[in-house]
Amino acid sequence: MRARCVALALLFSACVAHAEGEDPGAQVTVLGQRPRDAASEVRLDAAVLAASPARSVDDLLRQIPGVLVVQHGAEGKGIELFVRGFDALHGQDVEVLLGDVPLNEPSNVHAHGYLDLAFVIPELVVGIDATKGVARLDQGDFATAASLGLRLGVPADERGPRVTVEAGTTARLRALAVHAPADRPEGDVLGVELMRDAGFGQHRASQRVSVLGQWGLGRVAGARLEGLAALYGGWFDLPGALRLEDLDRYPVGGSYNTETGGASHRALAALTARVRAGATRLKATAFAQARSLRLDENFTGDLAYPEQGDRHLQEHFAWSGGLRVHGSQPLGAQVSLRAFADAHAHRVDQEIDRLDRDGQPWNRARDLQSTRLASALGLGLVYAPWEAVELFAGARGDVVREAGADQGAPRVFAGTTGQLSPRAGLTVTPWASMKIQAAYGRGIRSPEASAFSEGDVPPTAVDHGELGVRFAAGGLDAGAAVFAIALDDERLFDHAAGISLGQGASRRRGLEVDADYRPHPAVLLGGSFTWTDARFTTLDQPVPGVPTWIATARAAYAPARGPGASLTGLQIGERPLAHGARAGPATVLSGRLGYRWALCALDLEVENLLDARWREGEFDFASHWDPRAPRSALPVIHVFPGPPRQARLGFTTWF
Amino acid sequence: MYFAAALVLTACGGESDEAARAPCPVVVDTGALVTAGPTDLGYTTTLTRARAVLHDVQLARGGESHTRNLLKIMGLGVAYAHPGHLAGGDVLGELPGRFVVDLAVDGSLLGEATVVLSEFDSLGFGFGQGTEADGLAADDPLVGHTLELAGAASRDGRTVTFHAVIDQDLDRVVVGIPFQTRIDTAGTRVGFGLLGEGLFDGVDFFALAGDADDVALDAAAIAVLRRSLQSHEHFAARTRPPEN
Repeated sequence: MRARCVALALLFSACVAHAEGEDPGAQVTVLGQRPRDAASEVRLDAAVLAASPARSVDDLLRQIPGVLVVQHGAEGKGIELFVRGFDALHGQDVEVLLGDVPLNEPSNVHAHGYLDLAFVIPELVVGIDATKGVARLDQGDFATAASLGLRLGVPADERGPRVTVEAGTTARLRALAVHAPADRPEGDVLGVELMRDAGFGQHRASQRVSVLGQWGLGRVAGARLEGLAALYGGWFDLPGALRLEDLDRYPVGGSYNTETGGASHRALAALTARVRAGATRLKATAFAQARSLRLDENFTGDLAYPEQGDRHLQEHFAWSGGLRVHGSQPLGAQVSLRAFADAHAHRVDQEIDRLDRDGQPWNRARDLQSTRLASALGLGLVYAPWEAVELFAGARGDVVREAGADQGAPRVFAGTTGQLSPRAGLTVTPWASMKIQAAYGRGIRSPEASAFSEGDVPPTAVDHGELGVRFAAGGLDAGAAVFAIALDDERLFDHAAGISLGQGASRRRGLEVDADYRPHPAVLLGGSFTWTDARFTTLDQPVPGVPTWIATARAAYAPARGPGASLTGLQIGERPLAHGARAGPATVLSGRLGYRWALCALDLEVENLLDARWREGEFDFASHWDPRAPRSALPVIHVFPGPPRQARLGFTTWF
Repeated sequence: MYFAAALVLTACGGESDEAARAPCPVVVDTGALVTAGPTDLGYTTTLTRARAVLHDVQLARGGESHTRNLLKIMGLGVAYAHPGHLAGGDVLGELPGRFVVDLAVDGSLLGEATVVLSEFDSLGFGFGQGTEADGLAADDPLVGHTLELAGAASRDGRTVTFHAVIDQDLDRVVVGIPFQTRIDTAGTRVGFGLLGEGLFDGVDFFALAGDADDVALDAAAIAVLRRSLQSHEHFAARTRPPEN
């Protein structure tokens, strides 16, 4: 141990000594980006993402204006997302892509569109492009509320082979090796991550191993090729939710469960080819993934099964593969064509077993195998009659075919669904620094496999409109937008019961404001405010769990060398819950403090600086955990506690 | 910085509020029973006794609550993925326990339910079988059985009295009894009872009675009643104003 400390001290000294003689200065590389299609589109760059502590990529998503992230378990379980008035569950209404590889999992046993992002190493994410609402042709059947694009890479001033070791107050140990040669493009990166963490409170331990890389493969027949690959394994506890009335009786992050847990695995490979001939552009991505997910959970104690308990095991195996193609072609001086095509296949094999108190299965509730074939084609024209005006009009057609069998029901099912979805936009640029944008798009929410037991199922159509303005000049990038969303018949598929539940018509409306100001390359000030009013109009009820408002704030000083610090804040407004219950507001402040030398860096992250006792997620449902308490089917508030104050110290050295 | 300052100055969190609840008596309501019309065979029936062993009255919210409750009772409604979306969250009123009650006596009190002040769509309950622990005498016709019916059937100027003892399985529940109303006031009485119309369809009382004036319904007639009484269509529920 002593030898290790001495070695570390020598290495540290070497880094400092080296720093005194070398200062390569800040380098900035900006990747070519497509123009914004809506004023509310935000691009979070590496500086913004680095401002806030991040245990995983889930924490990076918290920086997106108007997005609430709720973790139901320990690190490693998929998150629940709330955005634009939607309870997007585990990904049903939020499309997430890594590069151009879709990560939503259709008909996942836990939830349709399930997002398991734990394999994405946060330090390898160089930017997040967030499109809220539906505006583009390439937004598919999970993009009814938003599309989030994760861009892999390492910015210029962070490049070079490096190793990071991290230790935290929750017995967290993490090691990260990143290979990002300085002479390679920003997007070329390979990373290996090992992590274990006891987690806060009770029963929140997690471990993961992740290998992730993206690399330019040179040119073949005029096409620039880029490969993406990932290999991941994660293991985590699943504490479940805590009744609000028990918060004072349990320690922070208490859990009724002691043996429940999960495991997740992924193998992914993708190849992207980019062709550019004059103003004609073509980008094609072929991908293949293998996935497994195992979740052993209990949210309701022994309410449904007093004898055995309500614990259940979900197991999911899936293969998927597909091809996505984007293209643009000028058709004249003022008109250009945009095109998008997508074809993919998913095969799922999943089971749900009810477990007794010893974890032994006693009843199989689901034994489903299903294949989904989905395709989409979008075509649109961009017309720019004047330099300051650009019109876009197009449409996207989606067809989904599902066929399978559930031996647990038992039933055989097959069905088709589809929709033609118009998309349109208007951009007016009165000054170079200002854009006024209007966007309209119809989104499609496809049903999950079991919903096809009713035969052909109509998708849920979502009409989305937005009007906004964006200003970018003098280091300021600010936007404001109002939005309105209407659904004629919002159908929620209850995947536990295997039936579609009609909620009737619904609508969302709101206002978003965001701003980032960089008065100096090392200084970042920013924040956002989102107000949302979401209601099931037929039922005359608010959409449960949707925050009335969310505010974020960040202030960061991050020079290329020397001391740096940042402070970020998240404030969540009141959340209406079902049946008149109400979740209180919450405020969380977090910060980073660090010092960067030329070849090494120390970084202290403190999450929840004020140690606020906040509740990240609150839900209204019935449970029975206390054997002395009377059994009741009436709903009560259950909470997923937010993390208490946690600190992590990381040391990074470049070679 | 403005936002950051605002965040620091703001309290770190606020309390959450459970949905408001109130006690509401559950009583027998014979309003729908006495308006019963003639059966499909032309009999006009009157129930003088309709003793039943019931348990766990529940009030539910949800457009498809009949299906949802049924699934939940089958054990399929557990929160597998998203607590709050699936678990018994649509049961918004309950009166747990066992009750021996005469559904032919208006106003009989079952007990005081705990009710979330909100909208409702349906009411449901379970059937039991009587035991001495329910306060029944050992020779009570309900011991070991679910319902005891007695009444009169009239047609063409002739009247016969009838009686029957009916069994239901212990796990049998009746869900989806229409109860589309809003309860805002503590003490609001929840009334439910038999819907007489069509209850005795298919029962030919005179054929069973022959020349007698009193008849014990035979197995076939009891089977008809047993099936009828398993359906929410033969029950009705409504609110009644609080008693002064």
